[in-house]
Amino acid sequence: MICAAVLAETALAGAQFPQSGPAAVAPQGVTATIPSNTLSPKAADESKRKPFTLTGLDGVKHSLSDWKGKVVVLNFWATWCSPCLYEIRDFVVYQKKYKARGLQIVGLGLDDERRLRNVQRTLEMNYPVLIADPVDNSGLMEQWGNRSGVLPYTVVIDRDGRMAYIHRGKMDRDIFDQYVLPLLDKV
Amino acid sequence: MKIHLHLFGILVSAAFFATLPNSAMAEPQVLVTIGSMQVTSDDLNAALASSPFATQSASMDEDDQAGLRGDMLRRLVAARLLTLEALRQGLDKTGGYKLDMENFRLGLLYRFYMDKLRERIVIPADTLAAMKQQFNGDPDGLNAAKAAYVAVQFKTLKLATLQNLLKLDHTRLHEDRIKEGPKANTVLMEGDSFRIRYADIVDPKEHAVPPNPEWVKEQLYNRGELLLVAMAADKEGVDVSDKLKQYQNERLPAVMLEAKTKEWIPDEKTLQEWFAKHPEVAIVPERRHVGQMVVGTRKEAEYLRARIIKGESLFTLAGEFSIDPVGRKQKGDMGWIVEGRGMPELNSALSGLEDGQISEVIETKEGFHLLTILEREPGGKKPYIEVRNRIRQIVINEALRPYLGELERRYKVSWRVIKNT
Repeated sequence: MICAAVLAETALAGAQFPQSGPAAVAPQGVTATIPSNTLSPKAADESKRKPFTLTGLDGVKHSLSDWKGKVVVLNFWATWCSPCLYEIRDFVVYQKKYKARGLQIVGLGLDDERRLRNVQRTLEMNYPVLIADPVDNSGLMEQWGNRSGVLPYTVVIDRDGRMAYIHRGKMDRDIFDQYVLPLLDKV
Repeated sequence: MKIHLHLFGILVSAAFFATLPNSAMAEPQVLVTIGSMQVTSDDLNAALASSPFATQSASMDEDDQAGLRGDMLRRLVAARLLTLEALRQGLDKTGGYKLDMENFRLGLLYRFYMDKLRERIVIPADTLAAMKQQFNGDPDGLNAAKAAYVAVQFKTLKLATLQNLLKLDHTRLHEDRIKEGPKANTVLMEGDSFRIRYADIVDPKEHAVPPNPEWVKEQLYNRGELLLVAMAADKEGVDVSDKLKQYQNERLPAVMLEAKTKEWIPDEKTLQEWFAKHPEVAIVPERRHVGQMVVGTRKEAEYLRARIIKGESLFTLAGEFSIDPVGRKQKGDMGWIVEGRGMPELNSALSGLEDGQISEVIETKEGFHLLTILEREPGGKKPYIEVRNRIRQIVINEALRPYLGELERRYKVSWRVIKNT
């Protein structure tokens, strides 16, 4: 809002839009409070795929080895989670666009089968959805590093089966471009 | 507000609504025409996306999705009917409505201008590189740093822009007049192309006592900033007509409904009289936390009842012996049940039970039941003031239904929903 000082100003030169800001570094007070979203190099070295076998909405039992050699985006979601549904719409686009380059998105639906199936139909999901009923799979997310249980939660696994990146919350396009796309180029 | 509508003579295919794809259709399909207006598939999708059911609907069964879309379509048709009637009655020509629209237009222009101002801020390459280095592998941290940088720059840029606008319009501020007891037409701020009077920022209907001068000053600054920025956007040819039209489509039905509501409920007495005729609206039934077990024979039920009376837990035994699968899984805990709901035999038995007491054996078509009440929330009768809003809504809904029927006869409603066979 206009402050009194501005209104009281009597002799102002015509304001110019600054072409660039002062040569500043990142503001203070940000680094200490924001936890790292990616794996540390050491953790990445030690992180291998956590094994699981879950039934998909296609009725077939799946494990991560089904997509060996691909860049797997393992997305934990639930039908009641609004950001998850927005993110799924993006994932459908990515899967269609980058499938030929080796992208494999896999949804881990933490919900009952009927609801998952309805979302799959409504959002026209073009990638596998595994049924991870939260009652029977309470420890699954924790095993994949999500102790707080936040959704959506996404683990990116490179072609060698190593966890390359973890994202909490909705994955935006720039994050996908920065952390997933480069992995597709590594054959 | 929940509007219950009955639009007659409509055969809407549930399958049609259910099978509309998530992705936007290539060409919006006209679903209904209402006089000179229409509702398209895009309108329906947009309404659903902004409704409280946006998330929930994706996981619904096809029939439920179809029901939801049908209900939403009826609401949109009702809104169009109210809009047409509002226009016929010239409600868009009233001073209050015009003022409302003008304020909304100013707000749109202001927001547009400020958004453009923010977009002009570019983080210098060396600053960005430093941030990326500092937050390597931490996208949230990087975003926070970028946002913090832009916020600081925006503040400076906004201030400079406002200073410039003030200067260009030769704006003069008469703060001293606020303390002198201004009249409605006292000018408090003016420039070459605008003037703000006391009445523009203080509505005497809302302020029986003159408001605090500091508050008035703040309102004056806000109004001045809004006008200056909106005028600047206007001069640059910013077009907000689409959004204004959208707002009109939302506002006019509401204005029409407000006018009719005053007719249907002219005074408090109307609601009080309705309450006198329908006292049941205030009655709150008792809620009981119920334990139950069901077995196949009376003999078994009597045997288990005796064990419970001797000290065993109904809940432990229910988990072991109840033939009701849900009850057995929940070990007899049936949750909170509202008085009057459920099977009459059980409801009747519950009415005579003390907390913790085990019922006699009750026979129903499901089997032989034993019941107990763990705790209860007593019922009662709410005072008028607590049910007033509910009564108001009921009265509006009762009057709205025939009124919409009347409007349907006035404006031709043509449903173009094609049955999906």
